Amino acid sequence: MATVLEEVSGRPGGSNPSTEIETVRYDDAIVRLFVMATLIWGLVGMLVGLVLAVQLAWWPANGLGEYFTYGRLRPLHTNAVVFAFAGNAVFAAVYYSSQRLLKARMFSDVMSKFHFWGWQGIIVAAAITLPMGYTQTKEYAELEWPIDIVTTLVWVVFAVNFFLTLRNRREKHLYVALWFYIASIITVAVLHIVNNLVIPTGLFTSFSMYAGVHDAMIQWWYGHNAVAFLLTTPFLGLMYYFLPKAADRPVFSYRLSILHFWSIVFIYIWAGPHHLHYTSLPEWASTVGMVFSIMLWMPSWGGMINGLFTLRGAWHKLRDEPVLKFFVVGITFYGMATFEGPMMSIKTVNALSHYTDWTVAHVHAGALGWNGFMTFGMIYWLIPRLWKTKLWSTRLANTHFWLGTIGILLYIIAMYSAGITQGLMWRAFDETGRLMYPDFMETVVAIMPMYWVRVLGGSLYFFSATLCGVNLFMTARSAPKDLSDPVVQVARPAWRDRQVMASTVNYDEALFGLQDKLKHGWHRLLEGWPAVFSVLVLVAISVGSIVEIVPMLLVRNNVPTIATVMPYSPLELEGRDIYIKEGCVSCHTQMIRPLRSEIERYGEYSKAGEGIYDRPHLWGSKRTGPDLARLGGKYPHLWHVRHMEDPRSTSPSSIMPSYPWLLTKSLDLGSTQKKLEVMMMLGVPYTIDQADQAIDLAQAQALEIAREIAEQGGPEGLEDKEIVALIAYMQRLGIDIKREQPRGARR
Amino acid sequence: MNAPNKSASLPEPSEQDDVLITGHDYDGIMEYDNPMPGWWLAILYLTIVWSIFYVAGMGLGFINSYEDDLKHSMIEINEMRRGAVAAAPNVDQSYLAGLVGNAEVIDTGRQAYAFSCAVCHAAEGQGQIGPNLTDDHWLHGGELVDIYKAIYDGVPAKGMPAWGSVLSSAENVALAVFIDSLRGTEPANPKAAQGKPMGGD
Repeated sequence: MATVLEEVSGRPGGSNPSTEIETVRYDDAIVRLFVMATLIWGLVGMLVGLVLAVQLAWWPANGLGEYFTYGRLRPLHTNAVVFAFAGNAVFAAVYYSSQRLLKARMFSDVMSKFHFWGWQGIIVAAAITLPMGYTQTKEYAELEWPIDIVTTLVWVVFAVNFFLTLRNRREKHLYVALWFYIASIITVAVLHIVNNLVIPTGLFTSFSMYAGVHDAMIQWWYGHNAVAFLLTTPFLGLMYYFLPKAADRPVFSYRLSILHFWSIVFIYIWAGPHHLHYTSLPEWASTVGMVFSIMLWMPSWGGMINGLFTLRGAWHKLRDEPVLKFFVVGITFYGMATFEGPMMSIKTVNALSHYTDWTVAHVHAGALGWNGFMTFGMIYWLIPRLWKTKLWSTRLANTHFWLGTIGILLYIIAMYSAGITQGLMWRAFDETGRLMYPDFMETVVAIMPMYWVRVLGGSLYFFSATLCGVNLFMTARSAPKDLSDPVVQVARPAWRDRQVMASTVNYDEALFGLQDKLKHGWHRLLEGWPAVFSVLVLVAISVGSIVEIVPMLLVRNNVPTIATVMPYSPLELEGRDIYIKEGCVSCHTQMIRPLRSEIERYGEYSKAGEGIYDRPHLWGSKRTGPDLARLGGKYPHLWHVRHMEDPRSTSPSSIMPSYPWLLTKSLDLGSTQKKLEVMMMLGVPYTIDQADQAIDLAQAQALEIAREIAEQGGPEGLEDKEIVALIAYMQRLGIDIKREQPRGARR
Repeated sequence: MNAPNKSASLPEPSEQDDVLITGHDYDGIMEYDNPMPGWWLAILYLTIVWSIFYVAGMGLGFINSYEDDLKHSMIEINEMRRGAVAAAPNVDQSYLAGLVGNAEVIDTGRQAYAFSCAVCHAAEGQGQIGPNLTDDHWLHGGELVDIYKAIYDGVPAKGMPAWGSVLSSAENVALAVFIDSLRGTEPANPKAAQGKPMGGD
């Protein structure tokens, strides 16, 4: 492959390669588009985040109707800030810097445009389908299968465009920023495809190919590495280009770049299971995830060191240069978050931090500090260059910086405080061996003031980001009419033609030639071989992935079966889909950890064998409300009816949204049979009879539940409403393990 | 190699040992040939050694698994509980009867009722999701000790949670006494009687 690349020659035209000057026009129009999209979607995503923060602090803010509850909007926020804000920022960085680092225009303007508009289309599709409740529920992989297919297509076009630009390059060796871009493009493709393997049950509905423990394992291999290869590595690439540019300083250490690049790429991919400590994931996987997270600390800090040390001799520039201010604070938050991450991956620390707002603090230190500030720094550096005029107001940019920084600090201090407070309250026992705070609500009420501080911090950050929008808008308005592509003259590189002439050399000459190539080290050689480099990256990320995932899927005793655990009834399956649609998993976990405080509060800890019919798993990652893994049978049906209609009627200080439409919306059994058939295809032991009679079975169970509700003094006539399906599901949660015999023929 | 004419705009090295690598010039960005910081490498190696040690420890069993840790912590908590049970009074019919009419106990019970019971049995005990507690009919027995037992152990099959380990022992006792005191209060909108009448079989 490498030699193929070397042999590409004689193009574009020219018979005298060593002296010819070539003209290169960089495509900056596409960068302008990506920059504008970054800001617009960034503001949208942050605004949704702010709405969520208000909803958590003040539950009536959920009252805008079923499409705007916390559960529906939460994935919209995460998708918007990760894929729309950070995603577009990464593309802007890649398109601007790659062309210049390679001295080549992007391979195809059509592909660039397709990439841009395709990506914006995906985001619009997300913004429509997520509030409608179409979701795969797996975090950061919520979008349903048709959108996933389009995403794959757009990503492939991006990759082809990028790699063919590498082939057309006029710079022999790849700079470190490009290494990080290569790793990001390859790995995101692998992660996206593997984690989104589903069997459709409808146009916007599907079941995961994996169940329970397997599904969780693959989801967090994905989830963790989406953070790695969308929010870390491409931003390191961004830093390696824009920071030395802005500071006008050489990069601190080339050798450090090499070691920290390869160690990040190799180690990061292993760390996913630290998201599943104390769950029913086998402990060996948890342990592997933890030790690799610890080993990831220094590789991550390599980037911080190279970034901050590059500024030696340029610190005075921070005084009046907002770009560098953003970069320095961004890199500092990166260093903080990549120290904290390994720390939180230590099992005993995780026992306290997991499911609390500590995780939320950690994520936002990274997202607001690192991703946000690196993006804003880049944008302020790019605006005058892309619009060919002075930045409208440097003072406004400085104001943005200070307000944003204060916003981040308020946000994360509030969330650390809330997380640690609640984590300690959950596990506190009094001197008689009872839980000190048996009522979950006490632990929620205690942190409410912190939720308001978060609203304040988030508002500041959002407001400060709008200042960037104003600055961009005003600068663009005063831009010259002619924004034609910048043109550079580049000497046609001789190395492109060398290989053809070398094809007749003898053995000795070849050997000396190799020696000559290796005189700057093996890595230097590799930097001139993008194809080999990319294959090695693929190998590096595959090792950890394969070692963790393959045995998990193949070795049966990783998930010991439990004889009494049976598939869901058709009605329960429908109820589960309503649970998924409403986004209950955003606030409620279904995973009781083997910790005494959890067993005391929720019941026997969750076992791997309990989840074998859960496609996808619904373990959750945050407990804004209590765990529901053993909810079944805890309350009468009527309690659930009242609770869904108005949570305050059963739990006076609850912050949960009301779901009155569940009592009025008709239950759709249109695809119930199809769902059972797909489950059978995936190996769930339903009989053909059960699938054929799925609707009858569901209606019979619904009638029974509705009758019991009426008997308990509740409303009549709920048998064809969504609420009965949801109740059927919730009453089933966690009870199979308590049975002595498997539940016989399912109703 | 490429673009060698850049040297005119070379920045001054900030420290004497900074050496630029020739040939590394990418769109004007150059690189120093600095070594990796020693402390950085040292910590990297240390984390690798520690990881090997930890994995070995899990494999050989000198680091506790989740199950081991759980077992130890449960032993600890059970000891605390045994101590608490030994110190608590023996709750039987005569003990409970001795507290009937005690205003302080009834007040404790009233507060615990508002927190734990009112959502299902309604604010004044007239019943809603759960049965009426003010009439003479009882599903699980109406003696003080029966009420106490229903509170303490719950009736999981019917959705009544067990409060024994949630509320303090004083609150469990006070609740039984308070609920006993509700009998015959005749609040508005009572739920229809369920279960057997007191005294009748």
